[in-house]
This record gives sequence, structure tokens and C-alpha cells, in this order.
Amino acid sequence: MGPTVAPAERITRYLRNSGHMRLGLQRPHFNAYMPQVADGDISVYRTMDLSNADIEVLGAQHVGTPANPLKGHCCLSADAIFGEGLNIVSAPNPHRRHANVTGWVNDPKNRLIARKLAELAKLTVYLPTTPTP
Amino acid sequence: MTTVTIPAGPSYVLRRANSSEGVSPIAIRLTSIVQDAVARAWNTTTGQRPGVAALPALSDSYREAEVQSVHGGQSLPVPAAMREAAALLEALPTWCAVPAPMIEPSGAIAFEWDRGPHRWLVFALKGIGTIEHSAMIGRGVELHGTANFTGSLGKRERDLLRDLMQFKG
Repeated sequence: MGPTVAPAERITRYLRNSGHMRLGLQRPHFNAYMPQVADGDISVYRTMDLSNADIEVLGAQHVGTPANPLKGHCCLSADAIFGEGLNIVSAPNPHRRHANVTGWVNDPKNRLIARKLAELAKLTVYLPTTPTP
Repeated sequence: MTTVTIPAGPSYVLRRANSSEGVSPIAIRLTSIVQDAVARAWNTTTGQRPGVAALPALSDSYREAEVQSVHGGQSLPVPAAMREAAALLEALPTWCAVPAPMIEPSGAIAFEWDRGPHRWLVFALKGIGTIEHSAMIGRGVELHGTANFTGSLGKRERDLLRDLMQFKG
């Protein structure tokens, strides 16, 4: 996997917070794409050529923890992100597929951008796991 | 006029706000701000203000943010943001719909009215004396900006709310 992200690549954002899902609409909430620091980055994974099950395993191994399991993930094309004036920079730690979406600025326009991404994204919700006795 | 009914009453809301006590001193302080807002709003209205109906969801959002903040990727609102949120909820006009409150990853407290892909509005408060708005009022009509916030809604924010509630497109 090269350092340059191609527009056709699928980009996955993992979700820990159930409030970041719009279950009735089968898409994430815009908060799923909002950076923690207004002009910071958001963490994503490059998941082209992975099945949905593979994406879930990748997230369980490198993003979720037993104490804070993932609730789901959402996917959209890199092209949609580039189209909003953002960039995707490979950051192969903790995994070679990891990347950061950069280019956010400290501005309320971030919500408009995040909402557009959320409306284009496809949501996958994970089934809750039952704790082993 | 829209009438909002909260079946369980204020004691239900206060119980929810109280249940995170013991987590940390800052959490206790923040929940007390929510409690004060609930009590104030309940004492000055009969439950018809949209801000009152939004308080239980704000309490839930805070609790989820609190859990996520332990694991990273989520900041908690500062006390000043909670006070601003309480002031905004009290200031909402009775004719507007109940907003969906949320804690953004940055810790900003946001209130969202979502009426479809091209018809939505978010007000956000960070505890720095400003109110941010981000909105789409009709296809292609994107609006965003920041104004001073001292506890009451400015003309711009009122106009946005009215435009959203009245929009027929």
C-alpha cells in the first residue's frame, strides 16, 4: 500500500460512540467526522479490497479495546473527502492502513463539511458482544 | 404553538443527572449545572419550553462523552460551556422545535435541528462567550458564522431558527 491515497480508495472511520450513528438513516451523524481539535486531524483506515468482516476485525485489533469496544464503522470514497478540500495522509502506525484526514480549519464550516461526508457515508453497525462468563 | 410533555417530570431528569456523581469533582460540578438549569427552567415554565425537553438528552450525551473521554478522542465541556448551554436552552423561543443536544468531540455543546438533508441547523457553545451556527436552509444555502453570546439569542440566531421552522422547500 503506497503512501499516496488514490481518489478511488475506500476510507473507513471507526465509531465508538452510539451518538455518532443515525440508525434510522443508515448513516453516521456528522459528529463522527468532526475533529477533536478544531484544526486537527481525524483518524481513518484505508480499507480498499477488504470485506466488511475484515474491516470489523481490523478495527477490533487496532482501534477498539475490550473496555471500549467499537460500535460500528462508516465508509466513503477518498474522492468525497478530497472534494471537501481535505487531504488524506498515510500514517502507518499502528497499522499500515492507518491514515489521517487533514486540512480542517477552526471554523463552524467544519460541521457543514462533516455533514456532507456523513450523508455520503455508509454505516455498518456491530452487534453487541455478550461478555464471556 | 408546540407543546412538549415530559411524562416523568423534573425528578426523573434530576435523577439522571445525579447518577454520574462520584466519577470526579468536575463531573459533579457539571451535573450540578445541568440540575440548576433543569430546576430554573421548570420553575419558570410549565414544561412547554423546548429547552426543558432537551435536558434529559443533554444529560445522556454528557454521560457518553464522559465515558469516551477516558479512552481519548473526546473532550468534555468546560463548566462555562455548560452554563452557556443552560442559558441557550432557557432562551429558546417556545415556537421552535426541541433540539437534539450533543457533545462534540472538541467538547463543544451543540444543539441540532435536523429537518432533512438540506434543512438543518446547529448552534454550538464552547464556553468562550460565543455562539457558532452552521446551517443549511434549502438546497445549496450553506450558512456558518460566530457571534457573541451573553445568554440571549441574537437577531441572527432567531432569524435562522425562524427560517428553519418556516422553510417549506
